[in-house]
Amino acid sequence: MRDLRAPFLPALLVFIAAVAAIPIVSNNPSLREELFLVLMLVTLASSINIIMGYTGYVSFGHIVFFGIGGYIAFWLMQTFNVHFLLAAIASAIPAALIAALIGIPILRLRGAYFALATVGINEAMKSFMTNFEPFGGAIGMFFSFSIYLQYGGAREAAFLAYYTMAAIALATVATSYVIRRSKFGLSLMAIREDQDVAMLVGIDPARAKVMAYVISAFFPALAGATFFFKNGIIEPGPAFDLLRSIESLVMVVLGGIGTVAGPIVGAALYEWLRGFLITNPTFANFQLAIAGLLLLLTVLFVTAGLVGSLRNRFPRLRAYIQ
Amino acid sequence: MSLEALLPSAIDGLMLGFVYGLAALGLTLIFGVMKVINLSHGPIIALGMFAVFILFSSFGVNPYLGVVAAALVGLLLGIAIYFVAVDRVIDATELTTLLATFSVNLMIIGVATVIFTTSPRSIDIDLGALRAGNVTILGTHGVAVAVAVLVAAALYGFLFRTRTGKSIRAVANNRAAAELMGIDSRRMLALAFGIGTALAMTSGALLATLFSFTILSGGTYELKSFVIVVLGGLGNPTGALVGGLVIGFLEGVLTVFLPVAWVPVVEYVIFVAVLLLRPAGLLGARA
Amino acid sequence: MILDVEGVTVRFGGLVACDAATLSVDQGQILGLIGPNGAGKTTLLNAINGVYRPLAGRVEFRGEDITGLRPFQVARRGIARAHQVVRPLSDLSVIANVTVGACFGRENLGLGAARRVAQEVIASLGLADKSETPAGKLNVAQKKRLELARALAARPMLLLADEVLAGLNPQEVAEMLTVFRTLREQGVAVIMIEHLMHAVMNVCDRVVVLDYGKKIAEGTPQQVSSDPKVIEAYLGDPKVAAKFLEEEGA
Ligand SMILES: Nc1ncnc2c1ncn2[C@@H]1O[C@H](COP(=O)(O)OP(=O)(O)OP(=O)(O)O)[C@@H](O)[C@H]1O
Ligand SMILES: [Mg+2]
Repeated sequence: MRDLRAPFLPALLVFIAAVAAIPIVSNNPSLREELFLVLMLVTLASSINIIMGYTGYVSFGHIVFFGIGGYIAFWLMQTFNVHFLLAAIASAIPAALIAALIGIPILRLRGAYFALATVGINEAMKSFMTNFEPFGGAIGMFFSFSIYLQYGGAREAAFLAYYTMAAIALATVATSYVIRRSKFGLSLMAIREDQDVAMLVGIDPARAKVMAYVISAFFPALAGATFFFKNGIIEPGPAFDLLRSIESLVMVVLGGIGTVAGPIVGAALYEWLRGFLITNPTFANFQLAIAGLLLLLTVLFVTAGLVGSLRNRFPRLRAYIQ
Repeated sequence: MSLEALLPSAIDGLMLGFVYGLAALGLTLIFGVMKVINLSHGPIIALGMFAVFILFSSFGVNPYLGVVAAALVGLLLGIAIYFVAVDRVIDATELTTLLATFSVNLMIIGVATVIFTTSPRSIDIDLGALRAGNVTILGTHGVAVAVAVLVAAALYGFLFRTRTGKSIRAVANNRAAAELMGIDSRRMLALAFGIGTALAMTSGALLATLFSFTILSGGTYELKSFVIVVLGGLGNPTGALVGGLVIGFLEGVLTVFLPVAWVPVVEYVIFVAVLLLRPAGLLGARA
Repeated sequence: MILDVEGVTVRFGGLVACDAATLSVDQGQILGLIGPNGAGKTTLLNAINGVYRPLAGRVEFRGEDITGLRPFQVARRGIARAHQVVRPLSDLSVIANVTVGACFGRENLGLGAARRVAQEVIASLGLADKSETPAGKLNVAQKKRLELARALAARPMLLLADEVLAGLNPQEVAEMLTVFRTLREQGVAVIMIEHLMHAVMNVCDRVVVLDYGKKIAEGTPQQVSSDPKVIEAYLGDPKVAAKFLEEEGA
């Protein structure tokens, strides 16, 4: 079985890359903007899936790393004129370090307590940034136009951001896959199922969890750096948006928690649905309510999400869809 | 600000704390009985505000009668939410119940924004004020405290004195054992969810008599309820009341020393610290 | 001796669950650990593999003091555990459950090698046809075998088996006893907690009896089973107990 496994990862990466190339080839800026968002959500959802789906820790306020990455990178670019790519990497490393520092104490909490702690940390960070004058306080920071000159102008900068976001999404998905198929991933899943048993078979749960948390913080930080670079403005509200955090969780559940493809499917579906509802005159007003209803139906009746249900329904697919 | 402001601020904060505590009581009751963190708490608080507002502005109903109506509507709404969204997943993981209640949050906000829009509203009531030195107590605040105390006392009476209340506590303690004793646990869970929702709506209704609000205002109070509930120990009703007072007092006093915008920073840092150091809450046993 | 437990004491509040318990096992030896319900048997195993930190006493494994090490550190030294109350990793397949056992223990195998070991162990315990089934879907007897499989997949030098025979039918018990004998031949040491007296009489080389956390007897199964102190501990009245033991038949 194992050896007959389809080349799932290469196929998946080629697929994502091909989709990402469409707006470039067809020179369609509005599609590019839409896909930028989808790729970002794929990154967020896949990252959350590592800590939530594989490890079983519901990181409700996970968006905090998106915000931290965004803020540090933005500050570096605006104040020191650091190149975007450098700033992005330079922001993801401290974000990962912060994840390690936060993770060591809060990953000892279980269940609802952990979820609440992550909300608290995100809100603490948001209210802190609102007061932190070096980062612009409540008003936030914004670029002067000249910042984009070194990339050849605002249009070129938007392309650079798009390519970067695509690369980040690909890297996240690849990492998610590698973890899922690795011994490390198996240790995470064992922890998810029963931490005490995991410990009794020789797994150091504290270490494994912190590693998972750090990895799942790294990519959202990169995504935050890229998002706000393209945006040209960063404020506490959008950077630490709890609703977006919860939406990413919803995408994971919609697509299939604990699977590699699930968060991708969930992110694409969620965004497509949102676009559909907003532009549809009958539904536009009830966009949120319908999203809520669909979420409820999924939670109540399709617990494993789309990908998970497919895998359960057709065990043969298990070899092909991770 | 000067130290002169300390006493009035502290009193003001403490009084608000009663209303905060009431909302937190609803959240903690639901968690204590069924281990569900109710993420529709915020919108329900907002519904409480709007219930009073609509009754008052469209039908001229006295706002305090409106509070009673909000409580009743809350009870029924909560029971309905329980059966629609929670009952089926009551034994699932916390992620599932979090998302189930969050979906209710989306639905309420989605429909309510269409109906009420997000423009700010307020209810104009003047019950006069009590003055002593530099302390001023607005009549509306006094009544809000009185109602909150009354409701909390009634809840305690219900939980500890009546048969149904005792059944709810039995279900909270050990559902399987309660069922063996012949208690219909499903009904008790639904009732507890209804009461929790009624408390949130009551608290929202009272807040509407104090401040202006929008349909999205519930979110702030929901987060505040989280902080209070954790402070008092998740699932501990007395803790929620005490936690409400502590947070109200802190908010009052801190504004004397800190810019208002720093207050939430302090609150959330306390929140995370309590979770880490004393997860059972300030009143609970040591971790 | 591969394992030496010296004067281990564990307390829960006012309750002394293990009271200066002392025992040892050698390679290729099966030690029976018996005693009435609540005697502290499970607690003693928990003290050995680090779930509880003993208040006093010392645990030595292959000459190394392992007292107070964390459970995963103990596991990595070659001690595996099968629980009294089965604890399958419910959402993972049977093969994944057993692979977990093989992966992280003493040998620190890679995933591929671990999977091969897991397959062998699963086959030897008659779970081969359930390999891809989620562990949560097994019946109780299968879960018991899975619990043992996960422990054995670690290829431990010492196996702590807590009532793995409880709830099995005679045929299944006989099969399990064969597994234990094979382990003994391979030089693995086993501590088995067991209430089934005839099984204890059948496979154990030595038996230690606990009562209220204290060791009250030690010796061959025959010596122990005729010890009035043991009989009394078990049934209160020595005469009833003797009769009971006769009926159960060695
Ligand atoms: N975590 C714990 N906290 C408090 N008391 C405990 C704990 N674990 C066990 N005990 C108590 O310690 C005593 C010994 O329990 P233990 O489980 O070790 O007994 P046992 O010999 O394995 O019994 P059985 O044959 O029923 O499995 C019992 O009185 C039990 O109630
Ligand atoms: Mg036991």
